[in-house]
Amino acid sequence: MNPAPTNSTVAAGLRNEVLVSDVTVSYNNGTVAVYDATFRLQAGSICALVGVNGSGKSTLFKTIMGFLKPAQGSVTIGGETIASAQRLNWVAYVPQSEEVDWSFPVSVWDVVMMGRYGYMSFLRIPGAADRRLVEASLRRVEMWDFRERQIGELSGGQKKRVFLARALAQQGRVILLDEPFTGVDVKTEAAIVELLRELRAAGNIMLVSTHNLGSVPEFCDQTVIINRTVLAAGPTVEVFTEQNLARAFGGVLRHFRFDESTIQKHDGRTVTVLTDDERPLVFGKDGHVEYSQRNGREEVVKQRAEQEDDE
Amino acid sequence: MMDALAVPFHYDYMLKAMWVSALIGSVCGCLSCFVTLKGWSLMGDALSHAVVPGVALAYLVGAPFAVGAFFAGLLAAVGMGFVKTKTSLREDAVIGIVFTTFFAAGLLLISLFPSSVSLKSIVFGNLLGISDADVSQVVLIALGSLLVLGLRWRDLVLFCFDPNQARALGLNVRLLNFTLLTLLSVTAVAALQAVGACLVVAMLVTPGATAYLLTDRFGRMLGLAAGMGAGTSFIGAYASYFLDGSTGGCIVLLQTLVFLLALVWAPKHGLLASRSKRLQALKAALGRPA
Amino acid sequence: MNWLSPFQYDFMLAALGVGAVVGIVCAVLSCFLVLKGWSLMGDAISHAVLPGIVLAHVAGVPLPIGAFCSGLFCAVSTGFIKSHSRVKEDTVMGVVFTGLFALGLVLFTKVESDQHLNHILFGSLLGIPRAQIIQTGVIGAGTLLVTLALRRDLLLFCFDPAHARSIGLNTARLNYLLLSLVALSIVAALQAVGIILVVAMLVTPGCFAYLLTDRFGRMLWLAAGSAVGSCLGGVYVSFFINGSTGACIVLLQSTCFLLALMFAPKRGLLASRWRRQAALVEGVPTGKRG
Repeated sequence: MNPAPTNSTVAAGLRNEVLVSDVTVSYNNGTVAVYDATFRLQAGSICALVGVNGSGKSTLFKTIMGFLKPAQGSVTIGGETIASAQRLNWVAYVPQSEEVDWSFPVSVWDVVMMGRYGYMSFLRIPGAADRRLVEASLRRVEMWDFRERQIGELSGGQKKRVFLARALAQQGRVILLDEPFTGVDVKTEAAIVELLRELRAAGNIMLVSTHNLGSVPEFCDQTVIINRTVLAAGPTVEVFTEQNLARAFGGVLRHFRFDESTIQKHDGRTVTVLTDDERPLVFGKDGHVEYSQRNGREEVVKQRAEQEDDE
Repeated sequence: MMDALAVPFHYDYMLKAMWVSALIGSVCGCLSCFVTLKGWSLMGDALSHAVVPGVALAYLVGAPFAVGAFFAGLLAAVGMGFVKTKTSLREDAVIGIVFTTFFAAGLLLISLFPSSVSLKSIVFGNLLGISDADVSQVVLIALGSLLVLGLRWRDLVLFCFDPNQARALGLNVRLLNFTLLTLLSVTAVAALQAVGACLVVAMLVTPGATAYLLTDRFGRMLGLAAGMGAGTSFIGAYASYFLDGSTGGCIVLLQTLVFLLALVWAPKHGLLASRSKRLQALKAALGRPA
Repeated sequence: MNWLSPFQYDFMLAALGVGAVVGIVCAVLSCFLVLKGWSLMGDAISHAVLPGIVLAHVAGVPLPIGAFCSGLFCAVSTGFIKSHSRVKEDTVMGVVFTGLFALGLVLFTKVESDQHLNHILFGSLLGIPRAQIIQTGVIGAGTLLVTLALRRDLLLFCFDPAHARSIGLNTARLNYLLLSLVALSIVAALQAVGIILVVAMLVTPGCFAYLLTDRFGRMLWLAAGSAVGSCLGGVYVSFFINGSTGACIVLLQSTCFLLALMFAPKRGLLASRWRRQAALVEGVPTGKRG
């Protein structure tokens, strides 16, 4: 059955939209970090914000969160200004692990409860509904058993989950994630991606700032590529092209071209590519290291070809 | 009119005060460049308070005050380093605890043995009534510090900028750290005489900060800071004669004024310069074809 | 000598009461300051109140108002200069508060005043007049009430200002609120321990509690408890040894901190040494096998 969209989902869809138009941001010391940035995100999307260090990625991120005031242009969420969207608790934020003081004397429970502050009265005294939501959020990220722990006593993946639970408890429509996968194990990464997909299905917007290019096509349906201004924005399949990435990253992007490398035969099953966003380490068929340039390594190529022939 | 302005120069104690403070000002000025670049501003504050029990004890037993101050300052620095490495407390909190403990100990000593040393001269300095023995100690400290700085300033700059590189080059980083701390605590004692414990940190920070706003070269920064420290100290001591006010207060107030002037009008890093730069950059970015 | 004799004097009872109030207020704030990394903000603001006190005296305004305004001015201008120049925050703080303190000193010598500089600097808990007891009580109670009522917001502001902002809290207002509370607590504590040692009251209890627990609620109780204990003990001890009251209070607080540093169950030196040894004992056989 294909249910017709009800009025409420249409209304939610209309309201849930991030619109960045003509945003220019400059700092006190005179640098203009971002200029004329324009893009639009619709309800139910996971969008990657991609760019090199210093491309204005984090500036744009901070502007969308309302920490920086654009010198020109505007950011609206569901037609509201950032300030009122924040008061409506629409914007949730998952910080980078490095930004958090992990020795701070708060427990997992305390941190997730902070997500509910916007709904509480002036004195921030949690009600039963708040407790229930915090519990549900903690259970959803499988951190309920750790609720009494001090946050510094968790592993990297667990720490990330706690802050995701906080975003869940906040019930924000737009969730901003800053480098969500650094310092996170593979299992947690998969769990996070799964959770984000569920949230997307529920009509939320996730904006993920990342330099982990490989993971972008895996789970982001939208991509914004930025280098001091928006170079390309739209569906990942259209935007995530080598040409666009080359424009954004210029000489910074590390290439590994199979036809220039020492690899001689590859059918997709024999080559292993290992990378942590730096230059990839590539092992060929026999488990030996492959070099990205065959020029200057003619000896190696010849020797390996001979071995191949012997077998 | 001219006669009136020249009056301070007719008094020996005024002449002495002016020259001594200029000497202290120049040494502190040089050191302040390292302090501000190393991010040790609060260390200067802490050491200047932490030397107080040393000074009190030294007077009590009749030793030269510089010796007592030196040991107290060093003990405080070691204490701070120890607590910092052993706990996850922030550095500023550790500094706060240690220096207040030392200062309180000094205060208690002075309150228990009131005649040995005047609290007032420690807290506010006593440049106008400085004894000849104290002058010779200050001069000795100043010349010694200048000598060490003159010989070793390049190493110290490297140590402030990139301690790992310094270590890689085979420099003794511990020794450099120790040297800088020692220089800080002995000049803190000298400055204690001039402006008192509460204001020593100004002598150890303000000239460096001012010079940092004015230039991008370390050599020039050193010269500017030393010149400014000496000039303001000399003029401040001179002006205090007419104001009949606290010598230390006048010196530091003058230094703050110079800093404020630099803050607004410095050619490259001043408020006015960066504002016009900001507007220009904005214009350039917006004028670009989309 | 009778151990209960201090309690027979009205001035001692007043001192004990005021000391306890001031101790609690400062201790509660110190928890936030230590976590925010603002430990030395207390130092800066406490020195900066001096010109405000003098000017308020001249203008005939109640002294706490003047002190509060100039303390806050120091914090605000430090923030402004930091964000508009390339000088580091700690350096800016050093420049600004010493500048204000120097201004206060120069003004003080030019103004006829019934205030003793010594009392402002070192406190005079034992000779505190009735009007000031009430003043301290009111300011202290008000500060404490506001801090405790808004403790959750303030804690969030210290822990994760970005999240605080994203849920629509006005972090700029929280920033100034915390600064104002610090300034108010300093105004209240001035009588008890004086400008120079108030920073100890605003740092040490928080650090002490931080070493002992990793829950914020417990941290508040521990800090307040140690501060009250130290204040009462300090006043009591100073009666017998006839030493500076402020210094005795601070030294007792430092002793508490040192004990926690040694014996804290989780973060203490002994605990971490035992942990390390236990890990070694466990680690050796596996290492051998490997």
